[in-house]
Amino acid sequence: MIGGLFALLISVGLFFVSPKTAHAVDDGISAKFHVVDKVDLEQIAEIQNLDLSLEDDLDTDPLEGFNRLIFGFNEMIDVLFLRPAAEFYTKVLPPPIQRGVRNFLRNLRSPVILANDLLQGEMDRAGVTVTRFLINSTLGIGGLSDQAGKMGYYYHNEDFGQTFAVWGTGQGPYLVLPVLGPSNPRDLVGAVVEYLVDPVNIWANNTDREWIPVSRSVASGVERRAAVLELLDEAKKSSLDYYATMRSLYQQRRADEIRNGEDAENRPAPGFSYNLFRSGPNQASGGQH
Amino acid sequence: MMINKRQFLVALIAVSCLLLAKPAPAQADDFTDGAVKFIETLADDAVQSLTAKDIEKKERIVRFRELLKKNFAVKAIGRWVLGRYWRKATTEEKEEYNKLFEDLIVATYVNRFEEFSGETLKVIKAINQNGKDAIVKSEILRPAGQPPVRVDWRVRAPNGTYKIVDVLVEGVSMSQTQRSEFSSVIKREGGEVAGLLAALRTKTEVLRN
Repeated sequence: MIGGLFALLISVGLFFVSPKTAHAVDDGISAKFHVVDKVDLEQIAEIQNLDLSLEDDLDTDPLEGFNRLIFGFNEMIDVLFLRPAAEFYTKVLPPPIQRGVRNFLRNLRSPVILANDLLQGEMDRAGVTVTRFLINSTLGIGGLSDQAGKMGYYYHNEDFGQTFAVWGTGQGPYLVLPVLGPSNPRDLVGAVVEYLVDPVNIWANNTDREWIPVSRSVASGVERRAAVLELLDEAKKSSLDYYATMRSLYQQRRADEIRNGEDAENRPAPGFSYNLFRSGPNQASGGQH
Repeated sequence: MMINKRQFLVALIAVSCLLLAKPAPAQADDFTDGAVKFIETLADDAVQSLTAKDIEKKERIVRFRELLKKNFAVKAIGRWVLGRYWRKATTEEKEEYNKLFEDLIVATYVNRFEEFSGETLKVIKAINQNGKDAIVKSEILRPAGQPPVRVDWRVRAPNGTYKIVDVLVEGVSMSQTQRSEFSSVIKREGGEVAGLLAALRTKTEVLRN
């Protein structure tokens, strides 16, 4: 089991080596300068679109064919099993029990969250994680109740994928994993590392209680699916291409988690045509990094 | 970082443009304060005019569209969402796209106000970005102990009228999501905007019913 996971780890690690494609950048920059020289509003407007389209080019999905195949398979699993389970969970179980499950699962992940707080040098957040774990494991009856949250020590999530990102590792190509869903090599390696170093899993596997990590995974899978029940129903209903929507949602959510919810610098956004004169040249000089 | 003469010149022009084009910058505080007020007013208006259970669906749609056009830079957003394909579109395609894009937003979001159950919007703070954008950070507080949802409103005020250019829910930009999606549809349709328009026509039709 462990050996197999290591093999997976190594093979996935190979993805990290693949260089990013940056061919489009040169064209974009030269085109921008061409226009800035002319200082023509309409053309700057066009260039701004071109400029932003660069991001789409860099944000490619080289495994799209394979990913869509797995995505279709996952959709089947979701419709048949996962979504019904999540619906049962939210609509049949009383809210206090749902909160208990969520709190318990979160508390169980405290060692992993703490490790990643520390690896990212986030000492304040590490302190919050320790405090939460101590309060909730005792006053919170083994983590079932989030007493710490009531005292202002709010939950935050961290994982190894986020830590690798903070360390500067690229995410690699977008990846849809069977059953597990949207991911990328960085997050996949992170998930494998988490499985291997999690104290509860280590203890359970060493004492022949394999059912513990298995039921824990199933429970957190259902809990997390339930948390986005309405969101995904809406997304599926209103999107023109559900696969592309999910890909974008995953990538943006992860980026936000990596930033710990702070504002992104230079986030692209729609512009007004009368602002282009100001923002156009500004972006041209910003494109030099 | 290598800078050649030409690039230096361009950077110089860029900087002077920035300095010249910027009229005596309105006080940053006024700008963000105004943005906060704008978002709070919008939230009040939306709750007041859209959430009553007894309005007919048609009437709700009319009111929603009115609020949308008044408070959002719908055309600018739509154009940005289409990205590089905007240039490829013909004048007729652009016109139809503008209409369908607005219809899609209306059809997607109007029903959410029907299911309104006492959520309130609490503005946390507003951040001034380069004097051009204000990010109004807010939380949607939900009843029954559900955790609040973090919503950021990206706002601009050209000519002194505030308009929303993007909404970020838990760090996810609605414009960016739509942009990725539209570009994916167009790519699958052989790079033709017409393919997206067809998909939009079908989708808005389905959502209306």
